[in-house]
Amino acid sequence: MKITNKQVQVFWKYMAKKYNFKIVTKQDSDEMKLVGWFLDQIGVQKKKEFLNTYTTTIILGGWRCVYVPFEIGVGGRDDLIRQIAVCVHECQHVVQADRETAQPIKYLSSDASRAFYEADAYRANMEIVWFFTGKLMSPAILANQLKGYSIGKADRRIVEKHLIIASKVVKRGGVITGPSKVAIRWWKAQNMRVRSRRVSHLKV
Amino acid sequence: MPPSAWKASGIDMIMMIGGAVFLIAAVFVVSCNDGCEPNATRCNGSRVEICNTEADWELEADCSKIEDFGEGIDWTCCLDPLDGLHSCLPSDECELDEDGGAR
Repeated sequence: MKITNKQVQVFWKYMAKKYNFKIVTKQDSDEMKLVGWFLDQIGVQKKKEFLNTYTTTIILGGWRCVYVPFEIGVGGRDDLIRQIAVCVHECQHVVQADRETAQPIKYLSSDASRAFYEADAYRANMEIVWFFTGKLMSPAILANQLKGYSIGKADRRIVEKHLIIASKVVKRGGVITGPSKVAIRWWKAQNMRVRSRRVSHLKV
Repeated sequence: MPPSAWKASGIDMIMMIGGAVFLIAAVFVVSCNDGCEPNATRCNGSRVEICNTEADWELEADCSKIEDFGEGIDWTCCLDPLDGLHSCLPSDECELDEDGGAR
């Protein structure tokens, strides 16, 4: 399936509207600069790394923002697929927070909860990457990325198990995660539109 | 301290009761888990669940809600005979018990 830069921008706007959040450029955000400074001070993460590498979602009361460290719709095909997967991943965090008001507190206070929320969202990456490439992301590699979220070995093992179980569905073409279903329906519809446009050109 | 000062005032009583309630709540929260074995998996109806490090069951997937975009797979929660993990699988790939049902 062909993916254009413009489509990725439109897709992000569609998902932002559907899941009711604002897209904010992370490096331009004063609150993220402050959080980055704080994390740097307490030795959790370098401010530069926090601002340039990680996408952050904050859903707290009326504050519904996804802070994005990259320019949406810019890059080659692999970058664009990654941006689509990040969008769906963050939408799943929005779903978690809307489903469970204690999610932000549990995310910060419990390693097991943080591991669960991330496993739940990483499943979306797996589903999206499979849809676009037919390649299965490795559950072990995904689970290991959670070292950066200060999630210990025992919890990472549980995450890997979640993703191993999910991968059996994913490689058979099934989709578990809500925002992935929404995203795949959107991209399938885009593809149909492009195809029907091509057919009408051929007829002319 | 005179003996009369040992008697708890109204505020002290409230603080003591509050403290006791807090302690009971804390014990309840700490002990209120499912008591499962971390890393274990199970089928809870159509739901695949995994036991986390806090001994609570957490949802991996509800097999009845899987979308397969027209593939028409009959997803069932069962024990995967290949790795011994409860999973959502097409029903014909499930390990069957003696009665012919999915385990």
